[in-house]
Amino acid sequence: MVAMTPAIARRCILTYTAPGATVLDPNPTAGIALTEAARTGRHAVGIQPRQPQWQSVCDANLDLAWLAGAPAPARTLTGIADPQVANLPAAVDLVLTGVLLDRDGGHYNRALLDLYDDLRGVIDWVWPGGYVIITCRAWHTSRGLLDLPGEVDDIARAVGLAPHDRCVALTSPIRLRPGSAATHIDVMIYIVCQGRAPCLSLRA
Amino acid sequence: MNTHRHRHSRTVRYCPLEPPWLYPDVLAAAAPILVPVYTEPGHRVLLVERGQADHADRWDTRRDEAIETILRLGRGATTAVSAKASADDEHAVYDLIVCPRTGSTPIAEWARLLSPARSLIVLTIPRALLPSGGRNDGVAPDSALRREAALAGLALVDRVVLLHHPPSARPPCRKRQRLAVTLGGHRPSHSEAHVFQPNDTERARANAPRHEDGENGGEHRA
Repeated sequence: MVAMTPAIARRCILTYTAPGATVLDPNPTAGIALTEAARTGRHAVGIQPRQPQWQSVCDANLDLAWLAGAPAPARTLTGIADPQVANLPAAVDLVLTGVLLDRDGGHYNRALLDLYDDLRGVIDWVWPGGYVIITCRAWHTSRGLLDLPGEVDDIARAVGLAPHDRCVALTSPIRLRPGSAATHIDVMIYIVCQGRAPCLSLRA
Repeated sequence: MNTHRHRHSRTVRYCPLEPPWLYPDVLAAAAPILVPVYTEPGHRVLLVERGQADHADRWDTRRDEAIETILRLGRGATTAVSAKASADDEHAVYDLIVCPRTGSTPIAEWARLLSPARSLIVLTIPRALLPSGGRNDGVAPDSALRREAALAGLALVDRVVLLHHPPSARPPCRKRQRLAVTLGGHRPSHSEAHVFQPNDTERARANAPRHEDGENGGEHRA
């Protein structure tokens, strides 16, 4: 399951980019982030999903966005070594991706390694001061709680990203009564800083 | 407490609170929500004071509120500043310990006061969730907290979001509002409660002697 919804993707894109910006999802799975980027007038760039079963869903979503009047078609690269990288409209303004995990938390380590590889592969494509947003959620499994947000935070710091904000996106309605419950997805926001200067100036 | 797993599938709890969201405020607001989930009537709850002089008045007020709430829920409640002071008490074993997340949360010390199969909750206040706030307070990443707990024989079993402010349904629509958010003007509106319980190995080791002692935590003390 991917911890991403169209509403979350749209809100992240609208908040952290301007029209005409470039949004990249290094592992688009169903193409939710790319679709919302295209529908909101951003350049959407994706890399072919690691899991082949997502390819057709991703293509269908992007076709629908194009038919719905997206100003520019999304580009899908075959990998980080794709020669088309040189033809991208500009450096990337926002990397937006969700962590893919099986329903029972299977392939947990694989998902984390994939995320590390994805981020390391595309981090140099992002403007200094650009944003990387990763959505994920903790999972209760038969083996206990898998604290995916905590692991994702470690990975993001390991590839050199600076924490910027940490938000909660509710995925079910909540009654405004003390103690009432809901579910959520963690939205973790980082800044790409080459050296400390851009990051510090933003925080100031 | 696997019997409560169905309740844990909900990861957010609405916990209304007016700013400033300091630890004593969050603790008093969270107590009526977390205590019934992780304890049963008759259990003993320990509330840990952060030990900051500037919050002393606020702590006194909020502590009394929290204790009153816990007693009304049928649990015993006491407070402590440090694990050492609390350990002087010969009955110092608790079913639930709630402590703040600081630069050096002494999880191992609190874990020694925990009865088998019970819970330690580490509360992270909203300011510490922001990167700048975290740096100022010296709060370590989540993974460091988890590792320290693992060394103390505890496993993370829940991470509960305590929502203090109604969620905003619409994204910032004006350019200036969006800029404010991207430049770090985003107002945090939630705390987090990391819930740890003894892992299976630790629980098996601790169960036998404590059951022989007949420790059932039935006291009600304030």
